[in-house]
Amino acid sequence: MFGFIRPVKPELKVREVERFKQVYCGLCHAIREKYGHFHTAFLSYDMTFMALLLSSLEENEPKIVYKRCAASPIIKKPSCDIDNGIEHAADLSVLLNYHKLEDTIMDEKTVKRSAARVLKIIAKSAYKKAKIKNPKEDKIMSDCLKELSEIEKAKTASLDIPADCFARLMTCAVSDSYSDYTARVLKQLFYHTGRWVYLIDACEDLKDDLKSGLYNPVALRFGLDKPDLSKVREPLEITLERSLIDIYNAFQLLDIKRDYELMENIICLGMPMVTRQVLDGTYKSNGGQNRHGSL
Amino acid sequence: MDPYKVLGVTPQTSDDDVKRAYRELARKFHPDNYVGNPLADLAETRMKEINEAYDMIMNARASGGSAGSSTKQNSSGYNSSYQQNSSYNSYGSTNGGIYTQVRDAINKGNIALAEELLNREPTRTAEWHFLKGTVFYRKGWYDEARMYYMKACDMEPNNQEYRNALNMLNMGAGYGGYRPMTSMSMCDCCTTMMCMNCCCNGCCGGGC
Repeated sequence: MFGFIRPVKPELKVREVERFKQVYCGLCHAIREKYGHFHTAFLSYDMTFMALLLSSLEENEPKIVYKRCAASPIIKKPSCDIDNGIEHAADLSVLLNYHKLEDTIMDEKTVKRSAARVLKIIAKSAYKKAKIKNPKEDKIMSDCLKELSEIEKAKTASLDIPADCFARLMTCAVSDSYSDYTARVLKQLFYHTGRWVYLIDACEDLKDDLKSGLYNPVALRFGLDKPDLSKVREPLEITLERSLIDIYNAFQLLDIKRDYELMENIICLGMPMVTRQVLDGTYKSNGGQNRHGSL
Repeated sequence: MDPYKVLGVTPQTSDDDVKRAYRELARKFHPDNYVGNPLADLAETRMKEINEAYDMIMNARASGGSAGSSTKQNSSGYNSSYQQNSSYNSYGSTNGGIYTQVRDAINKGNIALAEELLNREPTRTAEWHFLKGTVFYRKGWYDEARMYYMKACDMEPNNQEYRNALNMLNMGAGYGGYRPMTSMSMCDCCTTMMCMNCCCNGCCGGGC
């Protein structure tokens, strides 16, 4: 997706950093084993967070297995064994990549469009496989993105209307296997995660969108013609912070079996930090500390 | 219910630490953090469990027995001090019928009905804007909610109910709740200092 959901590494314990890497590797292996190498290229920290959260709700802690991969072909690296949570995140990752490519083909007009066309052809077979296994999720995704593109075409001057579409899309992370209680809490958590990601992405893309004339809800809502967020920072910050509060409040209500502190770091430190950086316009440079490296 | 498990402590935990664990949990699940939140009922149930567990442990310890079979007597501070303030009563309602119905629908959690009733209403008073804002608030559409609350406050600047709603949205909910954007202010300060340091060094050509 976008990679905005990430922990703040200096605040993590060493074993938490290891754990995050293991889940990242586990998700990557899950995607590769089920859908092939191609889709691992789109792996993101956002999906890692989803895998981590869904996996932390599983009763049994997944084993640590040692595996080689393309990035580390000689030394075997510890990786989280594939459980239901990680597997679901892998399926959704493949579905989402494909729909994102379709989206790019619809929106873009430049070379990006031709590139997306090629990638879409390569992605198709894995997508079909993922779709057969998750027809409901696929339907939600394609419906929400269709709705979103209508909203974009109509140049809707609202933050919440388009964000709601993407937020609903994210709730397909909640499969039918959960109890009513957990499903309700997870839906709220993923709804606001989706809302936050969509709005953060819109803020971060403001400059590019203004230049290329693409739809940008932030520009339309506040009537911006320059990529300067300083005048509209307050309403943006309030609305983004509310979603973060809702994510945290929902998170509290979950029966988390492990990795609580790691996820708390992501929600309470990582996401607020990214919010601040995006609103300050310092996200690309990671607040002056060079770019966001990998963990 | 195992009261020790609810509070995440053991029978060996000291009274002070049990109290600390209880306070920590009560702060997290305090109803103030969940005002207008679609999960408020779940948090309330959790809060009840925590209060009961704490009372059970403390009562059992006071009577020298083991927790689990004790009857509860004195309730811990949190649940009694709290009064539900998320309900939208019909006081101050000028347009009797329809707004009362809308408030009723919101209180019952039927947001779709409330929205439909509001959309059918041709006159857009301050109260209409306030209720519309409340509908959006419940849906998690916070930017829209804020705009409608602001409009309601503009139209009736002296209405305390509208003002409270807007303040609550602007401030983030509750004390002890999670305030993501202020929680790292110390770090911000450090970063600013670091940045300034870099600038100074740069400008002075590393002279200082």
